[in-house]
Amino acid sequence: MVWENDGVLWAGKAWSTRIGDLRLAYFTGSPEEIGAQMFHLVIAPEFEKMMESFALIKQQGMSGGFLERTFKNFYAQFKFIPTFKRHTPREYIRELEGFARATGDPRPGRLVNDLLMSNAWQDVSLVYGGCSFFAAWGEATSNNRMLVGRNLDYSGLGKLAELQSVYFYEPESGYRFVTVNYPSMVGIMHGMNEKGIVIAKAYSTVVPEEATVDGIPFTIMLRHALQYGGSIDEVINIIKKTPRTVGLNILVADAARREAVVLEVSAYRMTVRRADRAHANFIYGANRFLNSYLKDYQKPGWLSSAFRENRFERLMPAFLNDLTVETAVRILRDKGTEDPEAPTFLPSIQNYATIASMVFDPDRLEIWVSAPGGFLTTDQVFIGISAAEVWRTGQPPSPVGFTPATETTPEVRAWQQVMTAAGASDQRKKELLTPVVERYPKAGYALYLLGVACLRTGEFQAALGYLEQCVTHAELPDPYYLLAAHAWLGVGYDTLGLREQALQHYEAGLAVELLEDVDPVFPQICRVGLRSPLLIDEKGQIKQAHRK
Amino acid sequence: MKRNLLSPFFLAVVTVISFLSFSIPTNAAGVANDGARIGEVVILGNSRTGKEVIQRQLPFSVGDYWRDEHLALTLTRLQALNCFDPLSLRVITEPLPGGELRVVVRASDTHLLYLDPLEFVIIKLENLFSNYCTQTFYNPFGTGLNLTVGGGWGANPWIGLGFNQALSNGWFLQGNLQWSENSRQFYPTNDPPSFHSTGFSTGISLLCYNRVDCEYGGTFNYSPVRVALDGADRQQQAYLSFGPDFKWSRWFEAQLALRYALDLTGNFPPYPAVNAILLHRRPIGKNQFLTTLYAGHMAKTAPLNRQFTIGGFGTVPIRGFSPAFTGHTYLNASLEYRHSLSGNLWLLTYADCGRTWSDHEKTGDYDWESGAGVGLAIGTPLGYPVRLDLAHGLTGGGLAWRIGLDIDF
Repeated sequence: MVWENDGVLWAGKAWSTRIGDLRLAYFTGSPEEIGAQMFHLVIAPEFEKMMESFALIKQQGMSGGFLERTFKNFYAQFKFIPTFKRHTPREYIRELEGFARATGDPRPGRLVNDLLMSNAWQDVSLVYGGCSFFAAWGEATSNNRMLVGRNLDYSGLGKLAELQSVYFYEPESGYRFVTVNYPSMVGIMHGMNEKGIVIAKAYSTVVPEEATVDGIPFTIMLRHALQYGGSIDEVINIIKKTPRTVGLNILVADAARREAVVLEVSAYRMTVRRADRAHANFIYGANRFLNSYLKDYQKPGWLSSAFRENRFERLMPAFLNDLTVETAVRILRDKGTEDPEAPTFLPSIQNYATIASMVFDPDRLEIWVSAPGGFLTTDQVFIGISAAEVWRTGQPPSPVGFTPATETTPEVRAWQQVMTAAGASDQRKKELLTPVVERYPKAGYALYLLGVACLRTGEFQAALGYLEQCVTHAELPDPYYLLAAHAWLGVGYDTLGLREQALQHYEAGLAVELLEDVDPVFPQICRVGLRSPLLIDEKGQIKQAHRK
Repeated sequence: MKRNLLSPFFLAVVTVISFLSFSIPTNAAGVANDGARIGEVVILGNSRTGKEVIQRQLPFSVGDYWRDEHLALTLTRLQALNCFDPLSLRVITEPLPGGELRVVVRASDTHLLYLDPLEFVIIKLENLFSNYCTQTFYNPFGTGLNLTVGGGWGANPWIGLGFNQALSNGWFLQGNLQWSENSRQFYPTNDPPSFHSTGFSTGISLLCYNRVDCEYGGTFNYSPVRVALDGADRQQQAYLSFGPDFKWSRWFEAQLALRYALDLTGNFPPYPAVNAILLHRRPIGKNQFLTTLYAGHMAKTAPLNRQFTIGGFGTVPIRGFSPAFTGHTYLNASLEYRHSLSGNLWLLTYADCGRTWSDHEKTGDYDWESGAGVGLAIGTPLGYPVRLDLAHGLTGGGLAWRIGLDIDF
């Protein structure tokens, strides 16, 4: 039975409520009860909106053309679902069954399968997921306590981000834990348990031989590790003994032991990265392996990991010995430069794909979460909630504090405009970026985005102007964009029949010293462009000129 | 069949190529940690199979020193269990602090009915087109025991049961029981040698993967049937056959099977038999050239229904013909070139040449026969390709085609 009292929806001891726009829910009991509580307290009150998000998650796993989708559906039914069910601990399947039965669906078994796939879509189809995290403890922080900051980046999932909720779990077995999650998810991507263990993950893409679907969906693996891991060693042991699926960096922080490590894993391999001696109380991670053993199995890709790691390296000394929740939030809000006089407007620790930000304080068992506004959430208010209080009282909590939203200076507004443009249509890009580059002519990333947008829409002279400005006068701390700008310039000049200039830019592109291995697209464009002219067609796609 | 004077020459060329192309490879890239002590063994993915079933097959344990050959031998034994998704099988060594090693053995149980759903659909369709159906129940009890049932219909109906039980240290026990009614006609088609038999065949065999390049074992087979040879009256026949099997694979692959067969009813004479295969794979860049020699001999006294059968797309191929050459002795050679068109597409060309020798009065025209063909192999998500073949008999036969799945396509 579900009833409402003073803005709180109750189902037995479980409840759901809101603090501002932030949804909170508390689940307790058997796995079936927890599943049913999630449906009645989170899904049913906003059924249509929630089902839209559920469809969105399903769509992520089942993307592609008709044939690809048919093939994936066939494999989902007869391969992925039976495989995931075989590997997944029974209690999580029971939780899904509880959810499915609560919906009243006449075919709950089928719904369980759909729900299981929605928990595994990241294992089946990787999407752009940046993600950054750090942990600091001991002398690095104020009062010697431990803090963990984490940005969750998912390009194209802004709608889902609006449904972000904080879920407190008091399961029948294992430890109580809190996570920031999305409707219908049994698995987690980050969270903290009552023992002061914090877990957060970031993709680290691996070569195909190091990934498989023949294992436990990684979100469920992380849930299991958080629910049953009472120390770093216990978490390591659980992850080590789990049949994994994809490459990940997993931060595990242990407040009691005053230590945090990053588990660098593929489906088959695992290594433990510890804080290095230079800053023994601080560790961070982005989307690549840093341990030499796992580096051999990394799939080259570009997620700007090296740049974000550099930012952590540069930011931490500034906050050393005085890291508080507020300063941790400032790190998560990083926009690529400390100098407000020389803004670069680059995607950084905070970027155009960040859909959730949070700081865990495992000593106090507090979680600080950004308001669920979709992209650019990190610049919004952070709400502090005491998980300890929820677990102690079983009652909806009052916030323990707020970290105010980022002050909207002209530079912040411009950065937000650039990040919004990054995911927008070419036309919208032009509208958003033109005033930015007029005011900040050294904003390299904005110039790059605007130049490419103009090139793709046939405004060649304007495009070449912006891109030339980008490579000659602008600030571009991440050289990847320099490579990309040269590649586009080469294509632009080729399209206009100016082969000499095009060749110069292809060569300049290949000469750029990058911070990390990148996906081969832009180097390939430069290499092919050196051999034969390229052109950009009316659809904005690059082609070899002789194949016109 | 047309006389083919070139065939013996062709066989000789194949033989020469086959032997001249043997080369001793440089040492395969081994595990970098050869000689390190094993500090931990982690077994993952076995949701149905008992951990001890896997442990019993591991050629190492905690405290042993890791050797390069452990890797391939472990994989061979795990594949032989036939309980796990072949694509998920991995044996990984990882460095541990202190110089020791962690060995991770990943072996994920399959669906009870199939290794892969696409494979299931393709193989079942192929079965149905060929008038039979078999089904393996992969390790239903988690003890390393696979059960198989099957049956055929049409001119040669049969029904059978089989099992494959993993023992320990690389030993496997296999068995089968089959009832069949079998009518066979052989070349020549105008006045064919033929037999008709009805009865059981039971077999049990032990097989050991002792080293990565060496397998051995033995087989007992008992086959009580009623058989009519060339339209004569039916007679009881109950052959008990037994003998060892060997397989050695390093620079080339060699298989040898020796048998001695004894009819317990006394109606037919005893006979010894030997079968041998020699295969060499020569990589040419991304492409591959395969040379295979097949040979077999048994006493001339062996009855027709126990003699060798070669041809067609069978285990001793002469593609472009039916699998209907019979005899007490055979010799065959095959050449196959696999040209890699892309990562998962191969163009195949092949030629076979072989013959049987028989004392049967109707096989006096038997001579060397040869066939050739082309094929296409397309990679699938299963990890091995679907293969489509079109072959033509050069000395007779005709056009023949086949579609199928094979790990070693």
